[in-house]
Amino acid sequence: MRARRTALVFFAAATLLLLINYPWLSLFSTRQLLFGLPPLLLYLFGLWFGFILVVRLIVQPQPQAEADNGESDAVAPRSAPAGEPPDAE
Amino acid sequence: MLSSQLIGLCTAAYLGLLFAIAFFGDRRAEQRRSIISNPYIYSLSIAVYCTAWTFFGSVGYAATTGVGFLPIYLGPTLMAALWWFVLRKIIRISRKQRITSIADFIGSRYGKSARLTGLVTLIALIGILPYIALQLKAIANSFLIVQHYPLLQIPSGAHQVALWQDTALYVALLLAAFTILFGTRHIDVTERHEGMVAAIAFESLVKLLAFLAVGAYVTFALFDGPGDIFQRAAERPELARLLTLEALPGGYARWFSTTLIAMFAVLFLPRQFQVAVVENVNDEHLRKASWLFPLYLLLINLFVLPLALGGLLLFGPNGVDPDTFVLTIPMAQQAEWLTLPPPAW
Repeated sequence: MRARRTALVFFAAATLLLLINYPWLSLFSTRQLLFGLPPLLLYLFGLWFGFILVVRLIVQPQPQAEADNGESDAVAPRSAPAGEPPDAE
Repeated sequence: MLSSQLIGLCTAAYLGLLFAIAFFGDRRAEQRRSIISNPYIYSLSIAVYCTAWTFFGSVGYAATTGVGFLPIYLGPTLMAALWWFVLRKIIRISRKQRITSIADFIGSRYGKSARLTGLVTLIALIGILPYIALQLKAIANSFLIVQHYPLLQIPSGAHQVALWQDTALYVALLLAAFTILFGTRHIDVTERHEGMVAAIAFESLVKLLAFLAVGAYVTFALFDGPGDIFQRAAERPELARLLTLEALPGGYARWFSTTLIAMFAVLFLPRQFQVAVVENVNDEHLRKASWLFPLYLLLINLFVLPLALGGLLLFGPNGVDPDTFVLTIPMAQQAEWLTLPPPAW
């Protein structure tokens, strides 16, 4: 589980690094406004905020477990005993 | 009207509060009832990454380069995501080997080489001197600007003052006193400086709130929301280029390399190492910090471009130094209350 999370977060960071650089960035460099805002700013801040949410989801296990509980109680017992092995060495 | 006495009084009150918080933090640490042992204070203390430069400089930089200020904050966002895996390891090694500085850490990786540790210390010292000078200059400058209210530009020659009249000197002395009281007074090197961290976290909070207040005031009170600012800017060719990548100096190569430098800065700057590694109470706090700290960066940058464009629209291209927009836009509107908290600290 821990190894998978490491891989996921590295993948997410590499993806963001690619998306905030050359070919992608140039697509949004225009003087036309979108919803009254510059597309470049919308794109960068949107990606930034999205990335923060993704990292929160990957790194933080507790809120995810809570969300599962909230959706259906039947899932909770199945995932809880197996759970995530505590990350301590 | 902002009299010198009022400015002095507010500054003294704010500094007094910082000292009180630091004192309280140290007291609680002695009683083993830490006030900094939670991920929120930890994230706020890491936000010491945003210095006076963020407060004044990024608006000024945005006024000439558009989105050029963003890589300095996108880099740390990328690095923070990896903290749970990278920084946690550094914290554990440092705790086990009682490492208390970045120089120690690098030295210990090469067989506790004293020569290497000394070299890293020297490089850090030389590298950090202009950095500190810049901070002192920013603080002294903001004093000068507020003192010259309602003038928006410091008259030429106002910078040339005798040594004992220079605010920067007193600021440096006060900072030294603070460091001695709450930093180096503890002889035991393994001890954390909880008071200092509490004060830093409080400052980060004040800085964020002050910046958001100025940003919201300019965007929503002086203009009709961000849409209005960008619409007006788009109609002026010299400002419209700031909305695209045209104004970016060095193009994509510099954008990319700045991102990389910022990634490493947030991990290896001596002060970042101090707050993130040495002062860390519990490495579980990294989980929250790895997304809370980027969120802080995002929020403090939200109004940078609107402020820069707003200032340029209000004052014209050759009016007021864009580096001072955060202070001078409220001053021009006689909104003294927004200039009073000396947030550069």
